[in-house]
This record gives sequence, structure tokens and C-alpha cells, in this order.
Amino acid sequence: MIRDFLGKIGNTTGFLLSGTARLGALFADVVRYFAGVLVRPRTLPRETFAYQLTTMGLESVGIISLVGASVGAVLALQAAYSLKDFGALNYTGSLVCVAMARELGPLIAAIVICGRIGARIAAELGSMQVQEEVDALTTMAIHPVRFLVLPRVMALMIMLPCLTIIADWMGMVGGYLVGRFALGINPEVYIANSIRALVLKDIYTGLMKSEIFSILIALVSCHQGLSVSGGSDAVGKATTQAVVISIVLIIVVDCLATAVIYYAL
Amino acid sequence: MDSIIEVRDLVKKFDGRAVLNGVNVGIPRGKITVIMGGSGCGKSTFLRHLIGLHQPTSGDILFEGKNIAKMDRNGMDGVRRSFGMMFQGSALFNSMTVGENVAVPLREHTPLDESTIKIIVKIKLELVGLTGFEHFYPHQISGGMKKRVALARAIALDPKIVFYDEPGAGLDPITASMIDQLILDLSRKLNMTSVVVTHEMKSAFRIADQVIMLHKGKVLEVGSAQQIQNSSNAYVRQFIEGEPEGVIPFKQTSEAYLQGLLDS
Amino acid sequence: MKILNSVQNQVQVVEVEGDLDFHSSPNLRQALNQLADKKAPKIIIQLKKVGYMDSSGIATFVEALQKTKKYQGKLVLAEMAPAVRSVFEIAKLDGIFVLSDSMSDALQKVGA
Repeated sequence: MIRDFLGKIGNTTGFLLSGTARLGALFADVVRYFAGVLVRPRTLPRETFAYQLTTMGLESVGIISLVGASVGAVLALQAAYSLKDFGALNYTGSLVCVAMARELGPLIAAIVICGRIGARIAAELGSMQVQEEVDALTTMAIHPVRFLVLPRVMALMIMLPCLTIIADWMGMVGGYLVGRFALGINPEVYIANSIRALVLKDIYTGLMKSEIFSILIALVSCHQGLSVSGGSDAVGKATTQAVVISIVLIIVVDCLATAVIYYAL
Repeated sequence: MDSIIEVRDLVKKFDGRAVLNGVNVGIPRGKITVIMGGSGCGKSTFLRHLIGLHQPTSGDILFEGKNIAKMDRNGMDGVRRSFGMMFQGSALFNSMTVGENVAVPLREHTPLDESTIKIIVKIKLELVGLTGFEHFYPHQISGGMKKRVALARAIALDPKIVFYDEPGAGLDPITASMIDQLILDLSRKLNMTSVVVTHEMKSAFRIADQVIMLHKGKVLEVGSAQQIQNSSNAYVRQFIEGEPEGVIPFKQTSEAYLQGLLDS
Repeated sequence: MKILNSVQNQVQVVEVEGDLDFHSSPNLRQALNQLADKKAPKIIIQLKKVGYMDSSGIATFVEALQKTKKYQGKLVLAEMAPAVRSVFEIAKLDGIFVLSDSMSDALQKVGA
């Protein structure tokens, strides 16, 4: 029993290490081709890049806004419930704004995008693998990482921080609406407190985190998609895996990043 | 005979099971070579070795004297510029239009202007009889059309050698013979070398300059279409005539089968 | 690949030497574009010394033909080697171009 258990731990560790190594190798490839694009812009597949930018960005604005506003509203309700006991109801705005900018904005944007875009990338690349499209690229001497992975990573690196700003903003709006209409906080006091509490560091550390999340989501999803072998059931599995692995990594990395940013620096 | 590709002692094992078991054969330059054999004889695996999608377990594959079995990625990419490949399932990029699919190798590998690329795309599409379909997406056209787009894409860069994986599979007889005619034209007029994997006898004998018969991972017989048609080899005869009974009996009862049933 | 421009009897003669492939045809395209921009009325492209031509060569000629047609210019392709001619034939484009086997014939066809 214990041996089984230890064996399982060993296997999982080995799996994690080899997975991390493969992700690292993919990342190194992406960085290399990115450097290539800086030298010769022609090597970036522009159509794919533009297409990915629009599908990732525009089509996600609605859902990100909705989720952002809801989280902001819930946060305001919950915060007010506790703050009231201390007579600090007026500080609801500060709490919502800081929490959204530092933590919840980047996190919910990343998780929504992970489910929307990560799954889509994994399924798309997975079915390309199954239908020999990736082989076709290889036989045309076009490297799949440059042609497929690079534009997706770059597009997500640009779009996720933008969506994070939208999520931040909508969360604050949601909190404000709840504060004003449901909790009866004076709107001028609410806004003044929010502005006083929010510092620039809150926003840019949040954006830095979302930049890291975007790389994680894109790399994990592309990797899952490209490692599909077999039929359509493998595509389904890769899609689920992409979302699950990305979310776990996002939360773990978020934890580490927060610890480093607010306690070590 | 001048061979563009020379295969020597090619062995490929998947998990210890030999799919190719010592293949020795040459692909003559400017000719049409048809690779035939039953399902599971290793012909697709053989083709994937020729284009460098598989690494052999042992043996050499010489393309114009260069050993592609031992080449690194950059070297292989250089060689692949002179290759065209038409996949069995077309392998078109679904997010791109027909025209963009054909333009991909041109945009990626040549310094040509976009207006020149557009004209080349039109020429290639006319070659495969698809003028006017540039703006369609792959899901909007039939399977036969997709195959023809795949062929147009394969010959976009005027390759020295084009590989076809089951070009006629899933096509109606007229479209299939049109593709055969195209393979013949490209070979005769432009001196392109063609390597065709198929199990369709009629098409094979119509186009082949050389037929390679594979069986159980080995070359069973090599010869002109006529030589193969007149072969005295029992398996080849059975294959050509499509008889269920012969050296490969249909009603064979293997020991393992009976053993397996009785033991359980 | 080398491109030589000359004028004979008020006809622009473009002499091409060497292989016309994906890497060299942009140069020819540039040379022909310059002529078309000047609206040169009569152009002969001499292909005697072209041993190999691929699709980009054909596409370049098609583009030149499109441009000269716009201002009613005349374009003749002269002295093609059989291997080059078959590239035109397989693209089914031998019909739309004015082809000629000798320079004197080409001069006649272009109306010099």
C-alpha cells in the first residue's frame, strides 16, 4: 500500500517534471522565433496573428465585462457585511478597487480566457494534428511552432492584459453600483475612498501577473493541442487537460507571484 | 538508371514490431513510381520516411546523394523545399480560404510580391480545374475538390518531386482519372518526379513507369507496369486480380485463434 | 539572372539570361514594371538564354501583360526554349501571349 502510494507520488513528480521540461522547451522555441520576428518581421504569420487578436479580444469583451462586474458586486456585498460591524462601511470602495486591481481582475480574466481561448486553441491545434495539417506544415518546411504557436502566444500576451483592465474596471463599476444603490453609500465618498486607496503599483503588478498568465495559458494549450495523437477522443482529452492544467498553474503561479511581489520585494 | 532517391536497408520498428524490414529500392528521376501493397504492408510508413516525417530505426535514404535519414531540422527543411506532398485527407488549413492555402508555401518561402503570388495561385488552381474557387473555405467544397486544392498546394513551389498518398481514394472515377492525367502531365511536361502510394490497380497501371510492390515490410517485386502485370509471383497475381483465394487464403484458420478460444 | 534593356526600331527589347525562378523573377518584375509605368508601347522579351523557368516567371509575364493591356501596349515573348514553352502550355497560357520563334518575326508581330 505504502509502496503503491510512494510509487504514485514518484510517477506524478516525474510526470510534472517532464511536462515542465516540455513546456520549457516549447517556450524556448517561441522565444527564438519571436527574436526571429524582431529581426525579420516577414516571418510572423500575419493573417493568423490578426485573426487570433480579434477572436481572442473582441469576442471575449462581453463575457469578461459581465463576470468582472458580477465579481465586483459580490465583493462589495461581502465586504460591506463585515465592514459594517467596524463602522467602516464607507471603505467598501477601497477594498473592492484594490482587490480587483491586484488580484481578482487578473485572476478572473485569466480563468475566463482559459476556458474560452485555451480550450479553443487546444481543440483547434489538436484537430489540426489529427487531420495531418501539422504534418503538412512540416513537409512544407514550415515549423509548426513559428506558424501556429507564436501568433497565438503573442496575441494572448497582448489581449489578456487588455481584458484584465476591462475586468478591473467593470469590477469597480459593479462594486460602485452595489455600494451606491444597495448599500446606500454616498457616491462621492465611495469614489474618493477608492481613489485614495488605489496606487499605481496595484495596477501594474496586476498587469504583470496577467502577462505571465497569458504565456502560461497559450503555452499549455498549444502544447496540449500539438501533443494529440490518435483520434477525436484524444482531442477532447487534450482540451480538458489544457483548461485544467492552465487553471492549476495560474493559481499556483498567482500565489507565488503575490508572495514575491508583496512580501519579498 | 538515375535515381533521385535511393533507399538502402530501411528498417523501421514500432515498439519492437518491424513495419519496414530492410527495404532497398530506387526512385527514378522524372518518372512516376507507384508503391503498391495491401493494407498494413508498410507503404504509408515508407512514404512518411521518404518525406522525413519518420526517422528510420536503421538504414539510409539518399535524396540526390544526401542522407536525409540523418539530417538535422535545418538540413531537412532545405530538402523539403523541393518536395511537394498531397496527403490522403487533403490536410488543408480550415481557417484559410482555398487561395490562401495554395499561397502558404509561396508566402513563406519566396520573396515574391503579393500580386505575383495571386497569379501563381490562379494558375495552380486552373491546373487542377478549380478556377474561381479561391474565396471558398475548405468546409464549403467537396472532398474531391479538397484533394485537388491539396494538389495545387503541393505543386505551388514547382517541386522536383511530388508525393501522393492515395490520390484517388474517395473520389469519383472521373475526378480520379483527372488527377491521374495531371500527375502524368506534370511528370511528362515538367519532368517532375512522382511517387504515388495507391492500391487502385487501374490508376496504378495507367500512370506508373515503375511499380514497387511491398509486402510485409519488404519489397516483393519492382518493375514496369507491364512486368508487374505479367508477374509470375503468386501474391502479386492475387493482388492484381483481387481474388479472395490464393497464397493469402481468406478462410485461414490460425493455430493461435483456435488455441485462444479453447484456452479461455 | 541578367536583364539587358535595349531599343531596336522604337521597340523595347528586354533580354533575359539565366534561370527565371522564385528568387530571380522579382528582379524581372521590377524591370518590366518600369517599362509599363513609362507606358512603353512595344515590348519584346527575348528568352533565348533562359534554360529554366518556373511558375513565378509565368506569373511575372502575366502581370506584365495585364499592365501593358491597360494602355494598349504590345508584348511579345520571343525565342523560347522548348522546356520554357512547355511551362506555358501546361499552365494553358500559350494562347493569351503572343509568342514568336525568331526576333525578326517578333519585330513584325509587335508592329515595328
